Amino acid sequence: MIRGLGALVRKDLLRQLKDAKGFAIYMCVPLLLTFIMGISFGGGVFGESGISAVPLVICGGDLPSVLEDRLAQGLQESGFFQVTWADTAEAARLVSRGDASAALVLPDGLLRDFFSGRAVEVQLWKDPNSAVKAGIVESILAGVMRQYQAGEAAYRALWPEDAFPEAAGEDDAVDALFGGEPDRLLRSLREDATFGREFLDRLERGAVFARTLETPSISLELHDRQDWEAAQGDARQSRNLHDYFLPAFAVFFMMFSAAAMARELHRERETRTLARLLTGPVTVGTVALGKWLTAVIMCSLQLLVLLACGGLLFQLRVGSAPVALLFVSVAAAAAAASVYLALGLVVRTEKAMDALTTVFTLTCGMLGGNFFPVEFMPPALHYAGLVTFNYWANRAFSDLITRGEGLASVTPAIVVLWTIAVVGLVLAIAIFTVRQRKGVAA
Amino acid sequence: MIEVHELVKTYGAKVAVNRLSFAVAEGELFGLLGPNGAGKTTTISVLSTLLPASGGRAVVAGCDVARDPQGVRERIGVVPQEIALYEDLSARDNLLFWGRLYGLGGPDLKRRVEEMLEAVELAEHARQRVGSFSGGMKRRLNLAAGLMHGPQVLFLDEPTVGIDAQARKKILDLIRRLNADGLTILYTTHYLEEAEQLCHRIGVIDRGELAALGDKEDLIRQIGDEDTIRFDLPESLLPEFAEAAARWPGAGAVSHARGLAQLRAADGARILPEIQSWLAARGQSLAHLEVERPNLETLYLNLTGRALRE
Repeated sequence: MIRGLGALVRKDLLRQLKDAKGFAIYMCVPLLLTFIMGISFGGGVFGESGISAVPLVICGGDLPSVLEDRLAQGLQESGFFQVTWADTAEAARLVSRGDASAALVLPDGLLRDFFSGRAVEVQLWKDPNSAVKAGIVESILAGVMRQYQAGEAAYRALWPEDAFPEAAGEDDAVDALFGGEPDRLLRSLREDATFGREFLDRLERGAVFARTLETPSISLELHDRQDWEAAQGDARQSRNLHDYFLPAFAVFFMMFSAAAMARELHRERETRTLARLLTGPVTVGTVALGKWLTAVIMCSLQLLVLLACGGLLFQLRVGSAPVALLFVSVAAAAAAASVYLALGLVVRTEKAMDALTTVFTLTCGMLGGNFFPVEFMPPALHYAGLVTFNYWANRAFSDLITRGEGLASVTPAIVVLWTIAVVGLVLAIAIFTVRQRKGVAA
Repeated sequence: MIEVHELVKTYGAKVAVNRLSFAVAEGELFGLLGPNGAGKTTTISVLSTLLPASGGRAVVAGCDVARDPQGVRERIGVVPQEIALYEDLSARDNLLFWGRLYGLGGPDLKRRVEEMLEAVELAEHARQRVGSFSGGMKRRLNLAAGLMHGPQVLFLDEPTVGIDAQARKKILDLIRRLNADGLTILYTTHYLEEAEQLCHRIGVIDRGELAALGDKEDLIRQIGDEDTIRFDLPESLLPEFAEAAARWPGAGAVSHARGLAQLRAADGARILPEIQSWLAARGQSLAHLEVERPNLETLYLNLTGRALRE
């Protein structure tokens, strides 16, 4: 069996290497697309501006200049945004021309409304032609909003009786304060004992709450990646969404390659070489195993070449855990090879297989996070993604490359991928054996 | 070397092979002759373990095809009707692969590949991609691939389909040489002349059933060693002709088909003058006359009612 298997794998690898067109599709087309990505979004050798700095315009808000500067600086320092301030007309023009991916529109009287307890509505205008970048802005903004709303909810849970702005009826006094006339507020504090006490109580509680948030007993510490990387001694690395998308694209192309390898079984059936093989001293299991092993080798190679190119072109951190990267690549290739081999054996013709694998690959690509992170999807779809093998491959690559984790962290994903690989391969061999017994294998 | 007993292969309601029985001795070149769709390829597919039999029993090289398919596969070589080769690989790479598949390796494998390339006269084209070969070259390499491991039994399924006369001659010469070296061969064809020239014994197969079996002479004897004389004669004169023919020595049955009278005779040449005289006496001219010696085509027509190439 081993010699037969060796002969089959050797033959299939030789055929792959001699097929210049196929080789180009497996290797060069993904590389070409990553080049296009680089030129479009920047990053790595394609420059620092680009996807790592989403152009964002902010307008409105009547914020004091010191707050404007602080907000702009904070967004800029996050590494995600290139911020400019503009009025609403200019912001609309920039977004419609595609010069800004999104505009964050703060309402006039933002601070006044906030302190008066009125609802504050922040708008986000997105460039529909820049869906990915605008989506990033939306995602981050939604995260910030959720954090604020959680804080507010916690505050109200602690002090439910604190309804100062509504009860005090002193909106005018607050308005006057932000209008640069604090006299009315001070007069209210002095003349209305109840209002004064409530206002001072509120200030005190607010101060305590703020101090508690600053020095919490249980804290979540958020680090800017640049700081973190500086601590790792890798200051040249910048925050770059290629870290996520390039491995995700590599996995996606690898899925197509695995499908193409499985399709070879149908081609061998049509050219009658499969029938000839099955009159030789090999079982259907050996033939299936040979196809699977060839696909694992070719798909692993494809992943590793694309990731290596990502390292060179986009400065992906592929070198921080090379052994883990190799293990994840092989496990992902093994899972893909098994799944597509089983799919290929379910259908009887190459045409049917083409249709099935295309739909399957696109669906899995979407659910598994190859087009955008699964966190962007509704929870139900997020959970549906867990059953796709590519989700686990994407997650493992993301852990290694984006988060700089090591082998221990990606071991669960590797185990899941190998489980899928073994189950898929056993299923494929079982289907093939049944078909041979029925006389329809070849 | 091959024993087939009451072999049946069905596809649903369709019976492809129906209670087929024959045996092939060691070193014999046995032909299965029949038109397309007669069941020849299905028979080879069952004997080579590619298809499971629906009934009956077959033993190849001492191994039961149902109980020990692996044993059968190790002992047989199959040359399918289609060119079952990897067209993107060279001739040498193809043979190396088929050799490795059967466990050959090292110097033995290389030597065997060179031997086979020489045998099929493709040594000069060893590095060439099979896809660029002519039909005849592909056929020869297809044959060589089935011989790489030195099988005990070789199944040849119409190995000369679609090639020119010169290429066909090369293949038939090679098959004769292989058989002369002691290889047992089961050869299927719908070419009558190939079966007549090559095979020691022939099984005539039609609609999945064995219609006749034996060597060429045996088969011809089955239809009687009589010539068939055909000539133009109005059907109205046939009774009178039959009455006259009954008095001629060696003359046999008389019939009429497609405007021609047909007379079976032990020696056609001797009876021709009688026919001419009889026709002249009745003022009939002889526009069409043919004398056919008994052959396998006649046998096939008699057995199945249709020609081999239909």
